[in-house]
Amino acid sequence: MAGVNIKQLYKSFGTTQVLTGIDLDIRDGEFVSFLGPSGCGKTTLLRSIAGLEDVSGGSVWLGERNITQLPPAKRDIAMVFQNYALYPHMNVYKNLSFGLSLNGVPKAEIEERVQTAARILQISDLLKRRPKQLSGGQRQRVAIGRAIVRDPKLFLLDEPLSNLDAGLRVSMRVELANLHRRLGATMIYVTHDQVEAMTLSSRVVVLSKGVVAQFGTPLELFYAPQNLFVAGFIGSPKMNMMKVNASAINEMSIALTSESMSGSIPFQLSAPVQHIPGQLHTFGIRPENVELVEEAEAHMSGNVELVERLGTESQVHVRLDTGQGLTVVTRGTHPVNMGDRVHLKFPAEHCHLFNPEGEAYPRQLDGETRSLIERQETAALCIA
Amino acid sequence: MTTLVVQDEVAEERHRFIEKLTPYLFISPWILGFLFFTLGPLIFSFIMSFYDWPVVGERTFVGLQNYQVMLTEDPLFWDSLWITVKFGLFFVPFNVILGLLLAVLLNQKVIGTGFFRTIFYLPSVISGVALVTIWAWIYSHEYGILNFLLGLAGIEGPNWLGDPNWSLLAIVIASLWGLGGTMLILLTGLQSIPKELYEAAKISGVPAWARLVYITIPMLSPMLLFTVITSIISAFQQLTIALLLTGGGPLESTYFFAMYIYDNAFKYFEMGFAAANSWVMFLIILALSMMVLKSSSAWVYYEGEMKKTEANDD
Repeated sequence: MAGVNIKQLYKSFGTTQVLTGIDLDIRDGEFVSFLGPSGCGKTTLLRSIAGLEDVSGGSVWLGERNITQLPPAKRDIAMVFQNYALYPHMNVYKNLSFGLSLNGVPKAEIEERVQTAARILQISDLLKRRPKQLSGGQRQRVAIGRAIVRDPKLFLLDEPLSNLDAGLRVSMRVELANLHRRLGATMIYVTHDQVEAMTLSSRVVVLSKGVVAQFGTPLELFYAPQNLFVAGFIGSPKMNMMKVNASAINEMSIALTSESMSGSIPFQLSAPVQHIPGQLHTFGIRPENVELVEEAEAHMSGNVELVERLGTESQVHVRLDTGQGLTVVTRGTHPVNMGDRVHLKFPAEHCHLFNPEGEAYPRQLDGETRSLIERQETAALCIA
Repeated sequence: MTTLVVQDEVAEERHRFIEKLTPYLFISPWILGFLFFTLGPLIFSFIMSFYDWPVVGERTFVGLQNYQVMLTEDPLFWDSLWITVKFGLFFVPFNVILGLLLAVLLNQKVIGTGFFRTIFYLPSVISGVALVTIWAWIYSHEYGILNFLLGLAGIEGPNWLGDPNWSLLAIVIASLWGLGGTMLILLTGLQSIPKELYEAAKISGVPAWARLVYITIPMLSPMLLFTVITSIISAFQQLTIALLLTGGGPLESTYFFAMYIYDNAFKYFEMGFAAANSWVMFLIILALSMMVLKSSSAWVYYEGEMKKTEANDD
């Protein structure tokens, strides 16, 4: 087993820059997800680690070895592909053993490794079948099995669950988590599904346009996004954002005001900030943190355009008097109705604030959240 | 009232008939072509083969006599058949294997593959006569470029078209010049193989030769089967190149079976005999194709199908 170290990695296709100066330190035994919208470079980054893409600059280290120039087979890795990439003309046993038998692994050992992998993945009774005779979930297991038999230092998984239906995806997610615990291997997992990334990973790399937007534990990304991109990308429904003016109250708090807002919001910093540029700040609040209150307490008002009842919660789409749309998540049985006039309050402790460059100010978190984030960080560190 | 209903029924009946007829009308040009230019001559030649059928003069029914003469009394039948088989034994494997190798080379991501694809396919679009003229120059004993090049390497080239030991090989080589068609089919097949299969193999440390043998060839096997069968057929139908390049000589060393039929029909005007020859050729090609098809269940992999034995395992 080994960790992965990526230093100043660049990759371009022709004149298109796909990855720009990626620096990552993935610890031994960690489960790390690359998360981002399509075209953000997450798959290219994974393929660069696998050696399927030549990098334009920088280096990739696995443990103590610089593997940047090594061919894929010499890197001590295994990869699971999005569309499984099973050999359609070989049965499951052959699919699992093919690579081993061509690398001079003794027959008895191949047999043992295949049977062990098949047992772990519960596909022992499918060994004689061809991929075509398997369901999507079974094919996925075989693809993972082909990675396991290699006994690699690093597993690379490229959106392995995206071809499965929703129910199967959830159960395979749980199995993947168990598998990671059981094998204790370092795993890198590419996905565009934030639920997968948040539930499986010890840490998540959020990529945007070939740059690491943030690398942190799932809760860190959710409660302390470092920039507008991560704030908008993590969390569903999306964080509400609007332009505000900011002025320092003292070293540790900033007053947020806007013409359309009654009163101001006292934003609490967790660390002192020297310079507040004043205008063009972006204020963010998650839909579940917006409160429906009486007019006297409210920061803003608007009309309800649509109420989506999901049972456990109701998603209320409000058109503010300024014309901007805003989403509020409230309890499932809240009596609010389409066309109602509602008054909204933005509690200061749940607010996010971003400077004109889109970078977040360090926000004060409550003790409970802070300790949860710390617990996740310790867990991620413990793996190493 | 009753008459109205009956009329309605008749109209509906007619409507239904026209509706059923329409698709056949659309494909009728092809059907007519098939009936008049393929099936018709086929049946006609079969009937002809039981007749003594000179181009002019009395036609007489002779039963199986044409077949009997061919098989027992005419040594040229066996000689020309043997020459054709020898040709096929060289031509078919080389056509398929070289076509495959070219396709694999042209499937690489290298600059200029588009250019080379065109170059290699070009001979396939050149007319047979022009092609033969070019090869006649290449093979010329005294002035040919082939012997000139061999001479540069210090080898004295043979009289390619004049020496019975070399003439058949010369025709094999000239025929292989047109393997662009085979190459194109296999290239298309190669490009339809998902590239992830190769990437997965690369990561598993499968060497390049094994990727060709264990992934490319099985995935390509339906196309290979097709090219093997069409190569066998074109080997048996070899006529143009031999007719124009050597005329069957020297010493009848390139006297192909198709040429034997051609001579019987248009030189000796023995139409009935030539028809019997053609039917024997047809049966041989049919038998060979069936054999290849029969064997294919062991080596051809079709997406979505499985071998019978495997299906029974489950």
